[in-house]
Amino acid sequence: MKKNVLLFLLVALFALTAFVLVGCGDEPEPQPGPGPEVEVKRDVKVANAGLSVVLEAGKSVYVTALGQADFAYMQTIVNDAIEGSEITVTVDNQLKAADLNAGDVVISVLGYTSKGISGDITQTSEIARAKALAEKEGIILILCQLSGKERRGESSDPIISEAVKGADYVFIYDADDSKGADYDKKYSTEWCKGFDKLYLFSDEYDIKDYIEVLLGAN
Amino acid sequence: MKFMNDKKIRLIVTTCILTLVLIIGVITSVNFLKFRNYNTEFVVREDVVGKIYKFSEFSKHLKGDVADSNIYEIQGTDNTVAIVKKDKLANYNKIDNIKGLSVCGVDGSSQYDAAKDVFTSNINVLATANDVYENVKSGTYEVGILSYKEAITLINNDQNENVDISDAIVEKVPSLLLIGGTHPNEPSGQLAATVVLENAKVKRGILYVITELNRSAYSYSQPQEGTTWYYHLKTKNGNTRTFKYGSRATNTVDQWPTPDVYTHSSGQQLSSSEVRNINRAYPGNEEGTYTEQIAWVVTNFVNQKDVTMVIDLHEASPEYLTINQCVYHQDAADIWSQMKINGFRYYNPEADKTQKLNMPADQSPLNMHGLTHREVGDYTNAYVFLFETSNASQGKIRGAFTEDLIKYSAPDKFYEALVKYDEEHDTSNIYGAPVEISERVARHVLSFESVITGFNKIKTTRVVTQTGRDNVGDGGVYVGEMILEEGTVPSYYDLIKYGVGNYLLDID
Amino acid sequence: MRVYYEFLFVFYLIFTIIIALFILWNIFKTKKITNIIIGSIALMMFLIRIFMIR
Repeated sequence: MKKNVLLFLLVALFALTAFVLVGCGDEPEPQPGPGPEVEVKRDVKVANAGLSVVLEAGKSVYVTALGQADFAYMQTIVNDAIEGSEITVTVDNQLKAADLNAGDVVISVLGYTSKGISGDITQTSEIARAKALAEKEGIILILCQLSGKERRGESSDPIISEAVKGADYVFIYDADDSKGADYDKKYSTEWCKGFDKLYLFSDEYDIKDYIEVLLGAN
Repeated sequence: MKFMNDKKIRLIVTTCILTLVLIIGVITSVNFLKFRNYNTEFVVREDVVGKIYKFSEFSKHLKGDVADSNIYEIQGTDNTVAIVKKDKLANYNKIDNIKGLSVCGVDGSSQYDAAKDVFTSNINVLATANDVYENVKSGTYEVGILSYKEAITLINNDQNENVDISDAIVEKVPSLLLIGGTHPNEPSGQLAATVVLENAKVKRGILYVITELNRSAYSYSQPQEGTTWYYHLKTKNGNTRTFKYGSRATNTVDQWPTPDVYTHSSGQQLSSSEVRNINRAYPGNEEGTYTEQIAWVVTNFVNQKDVTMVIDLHEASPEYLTINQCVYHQDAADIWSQMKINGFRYYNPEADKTQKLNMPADQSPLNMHGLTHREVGDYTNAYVFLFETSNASQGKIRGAFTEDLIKYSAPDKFYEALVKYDEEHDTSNIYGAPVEISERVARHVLSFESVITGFNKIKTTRVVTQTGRDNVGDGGVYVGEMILEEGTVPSYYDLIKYGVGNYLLDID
Repeated sequence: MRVYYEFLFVFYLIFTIIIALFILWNIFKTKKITNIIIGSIALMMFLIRIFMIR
């Protein structure tokens, strides 16, 4: 009896070890995505970017954040872009799609920060907000990622991937040094595949000139 | 052991073991006490550092205690100051007390221009700074208006010591408090503050430097961490500078007991050991725990001196989320934006171009209490920033703890393996790859300069009232920029290329 | 608050000294060599605490 029990335990141990080894095997090496169908636009001078004014008379401009990172900096860039013009901007870090009308322009900064998340603001709610803004009909959605690789990852990517689905323009900081927002080419080969309004900037402040043109503030 | 049944033998064995352990205990204790009482030396340039304040001047119970550290003051050479006779210093210590007195200044000087709207009587113009000094000394005039550099030179050259600089603020210039040594297990903070203390010169404004904020935490090392106690850096002349690697928290010899739950004055609750973490003790309390008394020094000093900007330098383990970045108080948001636009730039002679250091930031969460970027920002008029760099010696993944690990002068095989793993598998186990100490110090020093750059872009005029922040009123008015003397603070590139030791002065 | 800490500290110090004396007594009373070694090391730690070295 004792021998049978021992034998059973030995077989069970062997089976468990085999199960663990198989289950914890290396994941397959990530394959690089397909090459971009459109050329990556990096540091294109605003005059050559083919932009036109998107803000119509009587429509509103909003600045918001999806993920809550870099919100103050985004406001500074937009304020500098409209300086001297008569355009006014509504700032709302929790802007809801339901509050928007067709023709409104929404400029949102992308990137998750845990320090911006508190109370009712959670990663889930930010993803939901990104989805709603992307699906809102008729608005002009301009997305900006002002920080590099540090604002990507498990927390930021679900928000970004939802938001870009409905974007009209995507401006991201990427100095082509493997630390930029597109360090893994996800923007250029996956999220914005076939989308020709993705622009990369070595200096994120240059986004100001693009916003200036899009809002007709120049 | 049968021989232990014999009383005599047992006594001899017991005495021998006890004596041996006692000898080891005494040697250990002597080492502990040596470390506790070791005073890290900082070079104070007498021609640059005008004043040294003690912590106890701002938190009375610290007087003579281990935590009674120093705040070094570097005045801008062009700052406008008032000189008075030494026996009048106590009475002539406020601008309201000297506004109506007879005053003289140097004809055509910028200091005369700065002062002329302040004094109710006409400023009598004299030809030279020496004339001003002699006239005050002789009593012809009660107040003399000079630049700080002129005043201190004349005072130091005078054997009679009859005249001194008044505390009255004639021209309110911007000031900056640079804090290093908040956490003694975060070496680059202290080293960056030391580099600034031993190299920076100020043209306009006032720079205050703290190199050891929590000296109690420097008096011991964290139990069970097995850290080395000292680390050494070679200066450019080959001499050795010794620094301490202490603990994150105040010594339990200075503050005890540790409660199970630490309740901050805001009501926020944290785990027990945080009661001795100074960066959870702000705004501090002069009658509170030892750590709160030390934290109170900063809040009280900033309020008394009406400091404009505060920078707190830190490090974190490479696996910590908030790494290689800044956290700023919400009132400093526009300064931060200007720092992003115009700051963090350094010239790279190898590439022959100006490059930009990537520095992300978070705004200080409103519900995270006890930290500099929250409480000092809320309880004072200062614009507060905190910077973090990556420190392998704080991490849990590290291998053996050596001096090389503190300085990261040799790679740690476990961290290197994890960084490589992250690159290959696109994971985020490490948020900031560990780098050599010079690079961490370089980041902090560049951040310090960038705060001034950001401030100068927009905050050249600020009006504050007694009760509020930045409300238009008749409170203190800051006019103009803070200007460092060019070339005195080592650049980001030079600190990395030549090493931080190259910018530490030799101890005499 | 400070008075409370000081009173509690005196209380704690007295108890620490009493326990140290008990350990010392046990070191000389026990016949097991392991107890002597462990007790000596423990006593040393108590002394370092009593003398506020660490």
